Amino acid sequence: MRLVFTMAVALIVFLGIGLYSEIWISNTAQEISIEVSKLEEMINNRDWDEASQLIDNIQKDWSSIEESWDIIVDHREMDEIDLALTRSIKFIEAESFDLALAEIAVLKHMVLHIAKKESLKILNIF
Amino acid sequence: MGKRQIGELQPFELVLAIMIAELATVPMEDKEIPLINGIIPIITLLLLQVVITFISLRSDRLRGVISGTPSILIENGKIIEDELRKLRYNLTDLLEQLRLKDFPNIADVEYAILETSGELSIIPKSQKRPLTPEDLKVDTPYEGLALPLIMDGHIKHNNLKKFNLDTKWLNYELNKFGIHSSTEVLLASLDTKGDLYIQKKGTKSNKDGTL
Repeated sequence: MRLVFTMAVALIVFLGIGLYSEIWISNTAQEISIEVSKLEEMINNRDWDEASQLIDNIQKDWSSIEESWDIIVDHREMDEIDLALTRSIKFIEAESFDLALAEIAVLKHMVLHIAKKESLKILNIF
Repeated sequence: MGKRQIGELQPFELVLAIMIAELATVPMEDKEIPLINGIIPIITLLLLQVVITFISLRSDRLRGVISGTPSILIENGKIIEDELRKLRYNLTDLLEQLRLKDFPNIADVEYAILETSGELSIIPKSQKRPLTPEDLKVDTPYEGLALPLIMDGHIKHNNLKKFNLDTKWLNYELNKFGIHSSTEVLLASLDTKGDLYIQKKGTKSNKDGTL
């Protein structure tokens, strides 16, 4: 009985941690995505100064989120986001409309893609 | 998997062991993959192994499915051809295993059972089995387990307790051998007949093999 109880507890703890980390990644990805959407709007309106400020904030937020995501998410994917962010900063600084928009779109897609990949779905299991 | 060796593992345990080994190398080989991606699956597999073994303890049917059932290859001295064919176990393998089990003559075998671990168990014909004191109607005293009392200078107090002895008795016995401390002893072992085997540390055998 003790063994069954221990197994059950271990299973519940595992599932709990798994679910919690999935929800947490999804929520933080949504937060970043919302900020990136705001950034997209600013770029569309050619508000380069505000866009520059916002992307700096996004970068700061990303630095703190990255440390936690590192434990769970593939580092290659995190590196891709770092690259996209760096390119976005430069394109916004250079006020390059097309490139900035494209890079922001990639950034948004990658962040949401990670959350989708880490979610508990049949597709991800098989 | 407890204290069993590789050759004694059940098939699913062997598969799990290989999978665990494979999973352990995944984060080690590639720095980009988080360590937890290896740790969690390994722990999950270990839990799964415990669950499966627990269930197979409780259910005969499931045990048969998971671990298989032993197969009788020789019954009443006759080879069961159908069983050999079903197991794809050829005669060469069978004879080889019999020889390895010290039965070079198949005529001496009453039963040969292929266990789920792949080991072949042999029950020889009654006239061919080793003689026992019971056959000779000889009374034998009880022979229990010889336990080490000192290992590498450290006294095994649990084993002393099992013999209802104490360190006073041990020191007295050691003094008889000219040993003044248990730390000088490599191994001291007591059997159920009361014979104490002692070897001091640094004992070397001379050329003719005496101490």
